[in-house]
Amino acid sequence: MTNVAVGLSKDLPNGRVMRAIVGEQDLVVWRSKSGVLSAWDNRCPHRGMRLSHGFVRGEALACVYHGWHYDKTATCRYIPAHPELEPPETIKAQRFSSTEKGGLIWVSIEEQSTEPSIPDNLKAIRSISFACPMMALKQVIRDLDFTLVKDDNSGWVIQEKSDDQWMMKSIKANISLHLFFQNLSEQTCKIHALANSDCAPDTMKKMSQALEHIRRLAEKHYEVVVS
Amino acid sequence: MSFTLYDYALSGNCYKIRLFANILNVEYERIAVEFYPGAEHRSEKMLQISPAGTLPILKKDDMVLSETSAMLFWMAKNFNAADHWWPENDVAAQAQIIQWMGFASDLTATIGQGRLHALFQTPIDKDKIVKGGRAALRKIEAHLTEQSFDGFSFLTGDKPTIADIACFPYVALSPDVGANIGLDHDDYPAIRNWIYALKSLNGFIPMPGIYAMHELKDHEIDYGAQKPFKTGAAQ
Ligand SMILES: N[C@@H](CCC(=O)N[C@@H](CS)C(=O)NCC(=O)O)C(=O)O
Ligand code: FES
Repeated sequence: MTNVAVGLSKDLPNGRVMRAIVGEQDLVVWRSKSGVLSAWDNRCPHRGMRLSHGFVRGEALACVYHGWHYDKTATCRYIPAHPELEPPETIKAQRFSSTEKGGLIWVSIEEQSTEPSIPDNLKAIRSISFACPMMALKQVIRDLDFTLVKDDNSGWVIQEKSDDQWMMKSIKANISLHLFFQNLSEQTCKIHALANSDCAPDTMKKMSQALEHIRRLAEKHYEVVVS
Repeated sequence: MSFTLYDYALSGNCYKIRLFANILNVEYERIAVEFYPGAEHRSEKMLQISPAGTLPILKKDDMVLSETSAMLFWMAKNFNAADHWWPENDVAAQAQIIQWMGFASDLTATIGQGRLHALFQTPIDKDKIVKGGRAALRKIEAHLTEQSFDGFSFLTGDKPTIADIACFPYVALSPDVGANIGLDHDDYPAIRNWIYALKSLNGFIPMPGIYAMHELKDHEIDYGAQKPFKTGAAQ
């Protein structure tokens, strides 16, 4: 599994928090005011509140429940109810390795992880969730026969670069859509989609709409299969 | 007083009016109505004020409004709100705003109903509500994503309108309907960014279920240096 794409860098500005799932691991992914990225077990060491409900306070993440602050090493540094107390170093959330490359946020929950492979200079389109298994989604994409953009009836080719990284390339137009799959559960998954860097806003909208179209097909296909 | 609001603290629809009034910095008279368990909004006394039997009600002399979209419009005009809230000379923008106001009613009918069920066990067709709520979130997510490609943070442009106020509460409250039914915000980055933009507005106020971001601000700590750090209660 090594490095898994959990979101687009542009969707997590400085000072913001999000939740991510990798395998069975529930994560809080957050970026400090100065831009430092972290991924931790999504559980406050105090009473177990989800840290993804918390707030960034400068270079710390504050739990929404009792306001305990954790610095970028995930160590508790401040307890509002006991402002004079220096919290023991043992109060720590579990950390995982996180990195950014090619406009994506990557998390690894394994000890060893290989550098993610992704072309440079892609333009982030969007992350989109699907209420169907990843297998069903992939099948629908393989069988697609619509045009990615208007006035380009040449169709496209799909390159399955790896299990979780595909590229859809328009045959005539200079458009490529890079898809990064993220499995969430047996019934749900996500795609993080990026395009070639010279893609204009209008084409980006078309790509976003193409992903909506794929979702309608995939979920419908899956509904038919299960019923 | 500028107007009277018949209000219920836990209602997302009432919150729209409290929020916009606070943003516009206008004072008004607030009359609390016991929606639950008393169902006071459907009492004879309240029905004589507004036969619609819903909350909020905005009353100004003889004018009684029961639709939040009408209230927000009236407030923008009556209190001379900055032009972006209701762009006076931009008919296309006005049409978009009215369009999203209609969508706000869909939110009340899906997420709003689902939340009433979660809070008060009011009977609903759960399956239908959840499907409708998820479809609504996906729709606004897709739209906000496209807006972001043009560099816009709000529903109809780079500044908020009364449509953003109208759609905000039930989008922000959707996780309260229930977990793992596709109504959390984890799946919707554009919605998260939009909520952040709205919470950043001057005059933003919270309601139960919609936190302000700055509640804990007084304890912002600089970890640049090792150890010595500010304590909140320095003597
Ligand atoms: N048309 C109104 C609807 C307001 C509405 O539905 N309010 C709810 C409370 S948030 C209500 O009063 N429901 C009546 C009831 O459930 O008895 C609007 O958009 O403002
Ligand atoms: S549960 Fe996080 S501070 Fe108490």
